[in-house]
Amino acid sequence: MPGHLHLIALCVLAAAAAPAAAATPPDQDWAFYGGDQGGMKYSPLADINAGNVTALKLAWQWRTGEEPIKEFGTSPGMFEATPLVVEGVMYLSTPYNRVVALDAASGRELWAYDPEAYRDGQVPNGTGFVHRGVALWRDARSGALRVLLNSRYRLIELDARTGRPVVAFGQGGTVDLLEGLQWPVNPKHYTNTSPPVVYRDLVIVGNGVADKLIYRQDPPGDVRAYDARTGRAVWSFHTVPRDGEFGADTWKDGSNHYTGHTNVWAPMTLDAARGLLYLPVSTPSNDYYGGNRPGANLFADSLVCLDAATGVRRWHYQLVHHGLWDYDMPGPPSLVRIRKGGRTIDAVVQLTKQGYVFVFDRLSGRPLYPIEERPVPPSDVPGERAATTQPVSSGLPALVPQGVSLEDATDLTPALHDEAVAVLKRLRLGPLFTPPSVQGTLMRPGVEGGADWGGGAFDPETGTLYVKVNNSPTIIYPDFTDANGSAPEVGPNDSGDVSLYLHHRIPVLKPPYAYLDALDLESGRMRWQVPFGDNDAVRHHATVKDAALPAQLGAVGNAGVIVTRGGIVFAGGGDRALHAIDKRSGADLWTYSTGELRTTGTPMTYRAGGRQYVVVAVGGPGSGATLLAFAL
Amino acid sequence: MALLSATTSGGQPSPELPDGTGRELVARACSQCHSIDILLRARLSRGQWEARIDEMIARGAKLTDDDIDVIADYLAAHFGPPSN
Repeated sequence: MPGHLHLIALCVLAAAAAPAAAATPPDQDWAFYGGDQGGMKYSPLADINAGNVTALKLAWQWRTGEEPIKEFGTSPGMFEATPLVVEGVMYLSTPYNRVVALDAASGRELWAYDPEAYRDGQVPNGTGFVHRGVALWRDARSGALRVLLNSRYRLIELDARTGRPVVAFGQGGTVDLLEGLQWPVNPKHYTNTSPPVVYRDLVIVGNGVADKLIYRQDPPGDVRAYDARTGRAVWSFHTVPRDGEFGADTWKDGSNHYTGHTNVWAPMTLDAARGLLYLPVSTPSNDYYGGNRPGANLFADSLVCLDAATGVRRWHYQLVHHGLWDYDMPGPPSLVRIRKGGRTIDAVVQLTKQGYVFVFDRLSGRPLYPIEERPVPPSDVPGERAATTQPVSSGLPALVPQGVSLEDATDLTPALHDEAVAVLKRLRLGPLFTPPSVQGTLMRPGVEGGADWGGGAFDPETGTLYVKVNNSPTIIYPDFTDANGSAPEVGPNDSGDVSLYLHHRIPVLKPPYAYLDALDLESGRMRWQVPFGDNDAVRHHATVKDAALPAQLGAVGNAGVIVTRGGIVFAGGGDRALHAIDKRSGADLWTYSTGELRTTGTPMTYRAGGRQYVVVAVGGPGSGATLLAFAL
Repeated sequence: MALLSATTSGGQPSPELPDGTGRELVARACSQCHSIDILLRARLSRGQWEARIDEMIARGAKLTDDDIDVIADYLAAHFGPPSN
């Protein structure tokens, strides 16, 4: 029998033997940064589940190969990307802002596009070169799939098949994001780390501004929309309202004329059916001294809902007034559906660095759990007019401990405890929202939260939100360097000489240094809270060699988690491991050691070629950035 | 915020950094995540620099205790508080 007939015969036999079971399960995409446009970070896949996850193995890995470049004085930062997968192809961005397409089943590189972002030198952000993802747009007229990359001050559109710029978009495939801003901006000071949002034929972008860039008319945080086909600017939302616009009166003494930042560096989310866009807005410049921007400072530190088609504000809620803590809205607002009070409600959840969880009706902006304005400690800084009250989410438990007292000094050993108390006595301590002081205020949560850019993962089966959170403090001092507007830029002059690390490595406050939380958004109760990750530097430190340490010390890190129908929360985030956590109990079901490399990206999962994969970015800064793909 | 990490794979001595013991280490370690400019603009005491270095270690910088001393000495010597 000729060979091809053998093959046909075998196929017929196979089909007859197992007509249904042999069918390859369909591909399951991860088409948006947060899984869906609302950022639930939930996958309906259950091929990998709590019963078989212990058999999970590394299927393939791919290295960025990026290294420091002497010619430009640049170095890649953490590899923090979450890839997308559509129709068997993976699209991701790298620390140097390259876009790469991989075969999703094998990791084989299909193409790479390099915007040469390093030619403008090292980015001013303290994170260095990082980029967390790209967005896709399907041209309904041509059927073509496009990749959108926001690299520093440029928005670039690529052909998803080839990786080549789409010349009809902007100038040869590129839009200059500095055009249309209300004052001239140094291109090297304008950055982007979170992926764009695509709504119909619009591409919508925020931007990043380095915290340490403090000068009058530093880069503004306007959110802009562009025509995905032509690159034409369509609308702009002024996060610092201009004179005559709603909220301008919350900037006293004309401070809206020169205050920048107030940007949306964290990912935005979209209710595509209703055309509603949700913006997590950051603190104005400068982070720790507001004497030059008296007032509540709308829309800083707010959750803002816009009409995605027009950029017109639908509602907003300010979650920190007159920010003095760098408590940016740090993560993507999660669009969820919950049952509460006998009703099913489409809600939006804003996680915060300060550790509160705020839940609103997605359409009206009405809080679904009480928010109270509570008095907060006054500022003792000359020229500062701190807000007298701040919003407190009183109906939901905080995600982490808040505020600091001497009781929080580390107790790993009696000697370390005494050293820690001595450190704490040099600082201003107090409850959450104790303002910066010349003495130095120890604030907890610190500038990395609480929650951070990883946001939350929502399980629609149970109404539970999973959040990796940090429990680490920061010392904050007022920075007066922009007081007269003459200082063009500043370095870290706001530093005191108090270290929060005993012997360089032992945190001054008690562990755990991080948690994984499971919050039931329907009952308002914490289902479980477990210490998350470990801290090798502490565990192996000579000063604690005779101490009984907890099983998990906690790992500070900002990457997020995902949850699956298979009953698993996949989590990394500062640890040198990827974990599969039982979503019901918080028990660690499977751990994969990543050796010397930290897990730095929020994971994602998809099915390609009949097999479910779980992917996470690890490594950096410097070199070593690697994408790991796991499968059964 | 800033991150540092010392690797042997690259980085370059910034032309703005003055000569002195530790220059190479500072250039390599600090430029892993942020520009050297941020150091050039700062004027901090040794204790302040050391506190900053501790923060960087917490954020992933791989430095030995000896490295910390070398970097803190260099930065305090060249980017210390104004003498007046």
